[in-house]
Amino acid sequence: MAEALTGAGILGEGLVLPDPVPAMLPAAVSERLALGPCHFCSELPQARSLSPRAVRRMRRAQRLALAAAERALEAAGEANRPSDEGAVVVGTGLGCLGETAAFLENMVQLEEREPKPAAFIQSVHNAPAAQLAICFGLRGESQTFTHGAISAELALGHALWVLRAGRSRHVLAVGVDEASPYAITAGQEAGCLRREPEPLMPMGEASSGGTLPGEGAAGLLLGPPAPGVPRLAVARARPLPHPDVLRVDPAAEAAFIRDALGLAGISLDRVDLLLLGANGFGASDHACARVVRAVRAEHPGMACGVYKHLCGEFGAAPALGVALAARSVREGSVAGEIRCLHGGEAARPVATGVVYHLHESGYHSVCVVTS
Amino acid sequence: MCRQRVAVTGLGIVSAVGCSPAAVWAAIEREASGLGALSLFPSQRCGHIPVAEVRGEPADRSGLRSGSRTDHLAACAARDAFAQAALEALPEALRRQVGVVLGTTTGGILDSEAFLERLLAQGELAPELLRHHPPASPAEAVAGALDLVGFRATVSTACASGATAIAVACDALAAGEADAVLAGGADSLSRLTVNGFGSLLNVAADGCRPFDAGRTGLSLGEGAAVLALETEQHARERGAPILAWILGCGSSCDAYHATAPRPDGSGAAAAMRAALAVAQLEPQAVDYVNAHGTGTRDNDLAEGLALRAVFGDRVPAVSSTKRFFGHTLAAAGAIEAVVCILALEHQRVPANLGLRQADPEIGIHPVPHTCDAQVRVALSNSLGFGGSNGSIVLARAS
Repeated sequence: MAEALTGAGILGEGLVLPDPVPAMLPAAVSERLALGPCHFCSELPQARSLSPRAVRRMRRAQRLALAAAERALEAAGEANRPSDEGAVVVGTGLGCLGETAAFLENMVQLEEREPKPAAFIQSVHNAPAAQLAICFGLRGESQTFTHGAISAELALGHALWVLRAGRSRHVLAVGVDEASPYAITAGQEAGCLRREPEPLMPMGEASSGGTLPGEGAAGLLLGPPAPGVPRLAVARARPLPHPDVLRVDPAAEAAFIRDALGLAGISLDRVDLLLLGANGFGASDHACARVVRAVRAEHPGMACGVYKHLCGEFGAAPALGVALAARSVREGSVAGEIRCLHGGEAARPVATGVVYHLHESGYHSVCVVTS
Repeated sequence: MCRQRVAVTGLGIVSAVGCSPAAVWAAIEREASGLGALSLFPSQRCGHIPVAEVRGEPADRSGLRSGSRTDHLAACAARDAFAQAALEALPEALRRQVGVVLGTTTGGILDSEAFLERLLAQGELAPELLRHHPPASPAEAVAGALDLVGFRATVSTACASGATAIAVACDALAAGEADAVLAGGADSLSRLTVNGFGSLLNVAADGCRPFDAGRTGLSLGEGAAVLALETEQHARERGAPILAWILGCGSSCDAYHATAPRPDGSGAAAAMRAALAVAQLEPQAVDYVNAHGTGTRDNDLAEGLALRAVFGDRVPAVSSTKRFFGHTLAAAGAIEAVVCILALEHQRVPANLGLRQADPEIGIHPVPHTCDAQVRVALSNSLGFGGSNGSIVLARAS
C-alpha cells in the first residue's frame, strides 16, 4: 500500500472577492458586445508591499494576485516569511486578458502605428507570477498554469510536488482571474452565461439560467506541516471520462472523491465539509447535485455548501474554495462566507474539508484540506 | 525536478526548417536558416523583418476539424510523437490515460486578432473566433484528436514554457499521475508578437546572431515540438524504443524585472545547477549546451555569464539554434530538446548560425559550424520574460 501523502501546511490564506452585487463591466467595448452582468471589483484592492506609483503600473490581474498574496503572507505571520528560495505558482484560467486586449485594440485602431510596449509586456500570462517573485524576493521556481477551469488545482498540485521533492521550503500559490469583456463574450457565445443581474444562487432555484462570470484571487502560503495548521493534502484535477457533464455517473464521481481522499489516508466518513464549485449552470449543477446525493446518502452528517455566489465563475475560482476550506478547518466550523446547502451551523466541527468541482467544460477536481 | 530518469520514446516537430526530426537535422547539417519573408498576415510595421514561418498548411495534416493555427501545429507534432512511440498499441483503457502537458504563450491569438479586427474596424461581432483563444486550447486539441483523458495541463511561462511543460510532465510521471505523457510547446506567429517584440526594439532587421559581437536582437518564429515521455518501467515493459533519457530538469526565477534577465546570470545558473543536481551529474559531464541564445544584448550576456559561472573555464560546446528556427516562444524549449536528442543520436553539435565574431564580453565561444563531437549528455536552456528559467539535462539512450 502506498504511503499516505502528508501534504503541506497552509500557513496563511488570503482572499480578494469582487463586489457582492453583479453589475455591468465598465469597459469601453461593453456596449458593442452587449454584455451581461458580472461580479467584478469596482475598486481594485490596495497593495501594501509597493508604492502607489509602482502599483499604478501594475495591471488588473497582477493587482488582484498581489493583494491575495499579501493577505496570505500577513495571515501566515513574520515567522513564516519565505526566504529567497521560496517558489511561486500561479493558476489562471485565461491569463492577462486585459493587457492582451489593450495591446490588440490599440494595434487595430491605430493600424500598428503606435504599439504599446508596456501593454505587451504585461500581457504575458506569467506576469502576475513574475510580479509576486519580484515583490517578495522569491527566486525558487516560478510556474504559471493556464488550463481554464482547473488552473488553480494544477497550481496547487504542482506546489505539493515542489514541497515534497524538497525543491523549496515554501510555495506562494495564487489563483487569479480578471473579468474581461472578451471572456464574457466567449462565454455568452458558448451559451453558459446568464443575462439577469440577480445574484448567483448555485444549485438554487435560479440555477437553470446559467452562471455569472466573475473575477477574484486567493493566495495560500504553503510550507511545512505543523500542529494546529490546516494541511493541503491533495489537489487533483482530471478530464471527465466523457466530456458531456450530463453523462457523469454519481457513483464514479464518489469513487473519484474517495480515491483522492485515499491518497491522504482519509476515508469519506471523516469528511466534515463538502464545498462545491457549483456555479449556477444548469447541467453541471444538476450533475453535481446527483453526486452530492450519492455521497450524503451514506454520510448524512457531512455539511455541504457552495461559494461561487461570492465571486461568480472564472477559471481560478477553485483557489477561493480551497482558501475557504482552509479557513473552515482553521476555525473548526464552516466559514461564514460559505452558503450551506446541508448542515452548516448544526454540522459537526470541521476537521476535514473537500473542495469538489464538476465543471461544464469537462473537468472534475478534488482538493483535500485537513487538520 | 524529476528524480528518476524519464524515457523519451517519440518525437514530433513542426518548424520553419522542417516538419520531422529527419528534415530538421538535414537543415542543421546544411546550416540552412528558416528565416524568410513574413507571408502569414500583412503587417505595415513589421512586414519587412525576417521571421521563421512554417511553410505549408498545418491544418492539412493535423487531423483536427477546427482549431487555431497553434492548435494545428501542436496536433501535428503530437500525432508524430504519439505514432513514433507506438502508444496507440497500448490497450485502449491505458492508451486513453496518456497525459498531455503543453506550453503556449499566445494560444489561438491569430483568431482573436481577427475577432478584434472585425469588431473594431468593421463593427461586426464574430464571437466564434474566440473559441480557440484560451491557452488550454492546444492541449485540448491534442487530447481530443488522440482521445486522451489522462493528466492534462497547460503552462505559460513565456519563452520557458516548452521547457516548463517537459519538467511538469516529468513531475507527473514521478508522482504517478501518469505512465506516459505527451509534453511540449506550440506557438504561432501573430501580429501581437511581431508588433509586441518590435515595440521593444529588440528584433534584428537582418536576422538574429546569437552571442555575436554585432548582435542586434531576436528573430521570431513559430512551430511546435512534442516529446512522448514515459517512466522507464513503462517503456521497458512494453518494449518501446528509447530515443534518449531526460535525467533532470531545473527551474528558477530571476525575481528581477518583468522582461530583462538578472544581469549577472545567477538565475539561469541556478536553473542549470538544479537540473544537474537532479541528474546527479557534475558540470563537466555535459558535452553540449543548447543555449537559449536569442540574440538580444541582455539575454546573451546574462546567459554567457551563467554558463561561465556553472562550467568555469571548461564551458562545453555551446550553440544557439535560434537562427534556424527563429524564437518560437513556447515551442522553443521543446524544439531545442528535440535538437539535443538529435545531437545525441548523430554525435554532432549544431552550428550557432549567424556567428561572425563571438562577443568577447560574453566570454564563450559558440560552435560556428555543425561538427562532430562526442555527445553523451546535453543541456538545454530556456529563459523567459518574467525571469522564468528552465534547464533540461538529456542523455544518450545507449
